[in-house]
Amino acid sequence: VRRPEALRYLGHTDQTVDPELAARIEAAAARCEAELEPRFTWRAFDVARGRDGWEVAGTALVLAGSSMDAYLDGAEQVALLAVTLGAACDRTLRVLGARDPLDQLLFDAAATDLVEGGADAAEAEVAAWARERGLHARARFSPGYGDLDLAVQRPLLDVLDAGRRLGLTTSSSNLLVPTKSVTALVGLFSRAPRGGPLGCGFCGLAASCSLRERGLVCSGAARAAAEAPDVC
Amino acid sequence: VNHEAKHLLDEALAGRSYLLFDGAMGTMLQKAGMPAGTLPELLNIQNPAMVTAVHRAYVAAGSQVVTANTFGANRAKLGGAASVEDVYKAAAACARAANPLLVAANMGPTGSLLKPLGTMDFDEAYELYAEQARAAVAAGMDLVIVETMSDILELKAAVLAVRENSDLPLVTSMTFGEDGCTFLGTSPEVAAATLTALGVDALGVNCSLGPNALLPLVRRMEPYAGVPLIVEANAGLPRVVDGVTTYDVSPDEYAEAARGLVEAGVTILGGCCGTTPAYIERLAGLVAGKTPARTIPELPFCVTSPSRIVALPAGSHHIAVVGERINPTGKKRLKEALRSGDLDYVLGEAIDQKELGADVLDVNVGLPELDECAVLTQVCEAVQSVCDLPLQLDSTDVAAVERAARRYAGKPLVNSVNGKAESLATVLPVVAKYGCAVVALTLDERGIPERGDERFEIARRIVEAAEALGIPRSDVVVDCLCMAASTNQDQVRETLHAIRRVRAELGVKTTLGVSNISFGLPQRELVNAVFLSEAFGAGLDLPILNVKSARVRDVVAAARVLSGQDRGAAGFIEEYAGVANPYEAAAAGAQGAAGQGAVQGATGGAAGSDAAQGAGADGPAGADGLLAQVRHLVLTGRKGPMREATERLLASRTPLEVIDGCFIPALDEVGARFEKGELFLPQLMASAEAVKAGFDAVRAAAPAAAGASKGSIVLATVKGDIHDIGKNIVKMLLENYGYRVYDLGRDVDPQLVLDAVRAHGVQLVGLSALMTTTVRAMEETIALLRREEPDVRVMVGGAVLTPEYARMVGADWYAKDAAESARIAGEFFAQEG
Repeated sequence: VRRPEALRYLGHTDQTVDPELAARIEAAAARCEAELEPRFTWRAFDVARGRDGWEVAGTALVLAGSSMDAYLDGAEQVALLAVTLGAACDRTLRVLGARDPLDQLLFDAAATDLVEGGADAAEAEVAAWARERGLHARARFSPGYGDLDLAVQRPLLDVLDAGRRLGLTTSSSNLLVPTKSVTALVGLFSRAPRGGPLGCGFCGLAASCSLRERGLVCSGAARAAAEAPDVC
Repeated sequence: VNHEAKHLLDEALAGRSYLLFDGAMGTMLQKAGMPAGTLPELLNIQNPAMVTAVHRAYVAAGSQVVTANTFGANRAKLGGAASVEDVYKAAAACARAANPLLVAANMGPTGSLLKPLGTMDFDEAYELYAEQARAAVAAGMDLVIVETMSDILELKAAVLAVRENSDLPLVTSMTFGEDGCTFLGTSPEVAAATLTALGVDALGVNCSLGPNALLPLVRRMEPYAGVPLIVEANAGLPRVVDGVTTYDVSPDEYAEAARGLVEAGVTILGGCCGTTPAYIERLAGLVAGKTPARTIPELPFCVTSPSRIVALPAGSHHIAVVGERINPTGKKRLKEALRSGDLDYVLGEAIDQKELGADVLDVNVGLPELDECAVLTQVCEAVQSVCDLPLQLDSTDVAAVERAARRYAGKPLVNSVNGKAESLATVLPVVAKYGCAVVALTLDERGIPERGDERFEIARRIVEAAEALGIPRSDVVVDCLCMAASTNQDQVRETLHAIRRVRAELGVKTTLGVSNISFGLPQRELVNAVFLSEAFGAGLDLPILNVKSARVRDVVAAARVLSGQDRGAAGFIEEYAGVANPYEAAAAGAQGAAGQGAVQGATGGAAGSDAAQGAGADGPAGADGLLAQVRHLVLTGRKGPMREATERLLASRTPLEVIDGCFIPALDEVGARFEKGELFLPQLMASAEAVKAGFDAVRAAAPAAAGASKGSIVLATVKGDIHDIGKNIVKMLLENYGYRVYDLGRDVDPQLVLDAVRAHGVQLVGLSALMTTTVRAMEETIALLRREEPDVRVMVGGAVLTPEYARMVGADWYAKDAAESARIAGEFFAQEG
């Protein structure tokens, strides 16, 4: 758990944190590390623009929408990945919630960073795998951003057999369950992608996002400062 | 009906012969060109020849049972692409075309997680499986295998659905990871004990790992498995190499590992992911012409939760403590909590008891004004969501017990049946059907017999009646009944006598509500502790205790050393070495009373000066100093010293002055600082925690003042949304402003919000939604409230909401954070007057 990131999820900017609170934040992060470990699975597929969107070869999955057209433009392959901290995390959050909402919040922030770290690790593995094949990986893109519908979660998990591999499912409203989970795609290109990493300006929430207002972003390693101009 | 096939199945399910299933279907279909992530079950209709070819290959390899291609053929997964019945019919036809001895309908997970982790209701899962069970019957399947299950509750729904909708034999199998647990934390022991009690015909393990890795899991299951064991392993761990899933255990290695499984007692074999006819052929060679050697072991008494088993081996003197605190009899605070639906208090009692060493929790919600049938289930589900101890369902209302037992995740202990004909006739069938253990009270139509020998006779009758219904005696726990020594002094010996006979002659475990013994006497804990020791001596196994009493905990800890349960006294030494003898400490305290007083004074003075910053200890100046101190503690979010400081403040101020003159203004200031960004969210919450500690002190001193509510608010996270942290934060803050909050939890149906508004006469509702996909449910909830209770006002909040969104869904206010929601509530109730 990267402590500064966990603090950031808690909305910390420049407030002075007294030792008592600092100790509780540290304890939550330490407990998170001791009890949880992100597990992930990924697979790469050939991808091509078909009639209704980007067809993932060998599967029935189609990635549709203008965000995908921008993100996958010129891609040879796309890697699908899924990461989760598992049901144990949700159980702990639930127990904490019944007793102590602050400890629940602190654990939640630590867990959020842990699963983002897991997604970073999965993405790095994909990028390394791609490099060996002479491909360039674009920063990952998750369902729910831009106009990539959350409904893609279920078929994406099916293609990865994530229910069996990770115990990862979706609810009827397309939320990932267990909740501390991430799915994403990574576009793989034979030439370095034109746009560099995507900004978060294409997100449907960009107009009201309080993180963005403060110059921060919610997803993974991409930071506002390092971003290319927004695509959409 | 093929008699040879039927005979084989009967013999196999009796454990007298081996039975060979087939290998992977998905692996074979993908090899034949099926795209990943598509529904293989549709191929039964679209390309039956492709499916039959797979079955045929397995039959040729020696499979006696072929598994129909119906793993994901439930209504939710098929999603309208085909009906469940049509897929099952086509699947059966594909299987029959390969001419196997037996065809098993195959059911897998629904694909959604059940509550409390997910959003699927137990009944919804049950219906998905019931529809499949009916389809399996209609398609003429010979048996059912439910496999690759991670959730014991989902599997229980499947078992009940198959049992209630068919007469087909039922084999169940769960999937465990390298950590030895399913994704939802169920161990092999829990799986075997729970499924044995539910009366499945065979149980075991499939998928995830290779056969060698599954061997230790099978060994852990075996002592709790009252039925034959099945294993269908993967051909090793799946690895993705260049986009292709591969497995690294060869058919010969697989068969060699399977030899170990057979030696461990497995009699039903097959393969899962990565296995092919070549693997099945080797397995056929392994068991051809052989007869199983396994005999079913003597099962221990056990009860389970999804992730924990409490087992007392037959013939042992091991102790399992049943916590008695969740029972409203004589507990004012709990009564109040149950009446007002304050589940957090109940959950706190559950967690406390677990931390104090309870092994099982009694849950009793018997209050005349409550709908016990609904509330018992609700409380059990809530307790199971935060506490992994097995539960004892305690009610005289059989319908309440049945509903709770049906939806209980695991094997519960039912409290209780007794020797009355009516009780035997109504309670025992519930115990048998839902796979429970049961407490047997030694009373009947004539009341509680005075003599222990008569109580023993009742126990004997109950055990016999249980066995007649297929409930093994290991699942019966006899309560020889404990009466107050102050009124029934001679009966103490009779109770102990009955315990001795029940253990020795019936060979069953015993339980006892120990605390009754001291009723009407002074120094109750002393009497309880001595009686508990005597009862352990007589053979008591499951004492029902107040684990909050340190004295009885001491007795249990020591008894576990003496009985050999605490091996090497390791637990006792860890807990007690270096702890002062309480009696010597008390004596020293009495001798040095003056000195101790001085120490206390010094401590108090130090605390005072720390806080009051030099103000005098008494008089108005002292009180002002204290006020400043309490205010300071709230502003800095320090709950530790808050209770004591508040108590001291209450010596000179009324409770109302403390709340309205100190807590609330301090919280307002914290809210304002939060607004300006001087404080961040955890600091706001730490301040709320401090106020909560202060409120506890006020409540202890003046319950009426603390209980007086400034107004009532219903809070909920909307239907479909399972994120509740934001809502919990709002709740905490509102409570500390003195509002009565009815927290309906997360994933709340619009109708339940309306029901709560009406039941409690509430005028203000707060709704939370975290995801864009669930804002729609927020809109529906508000629309329902507008239609049915137009005077109710609604504030909304959540990560994706904006003021525009809030207007769009019809809310009265948008609360951008918890502090804002407190301001809105203040404004609303001020206007209301």
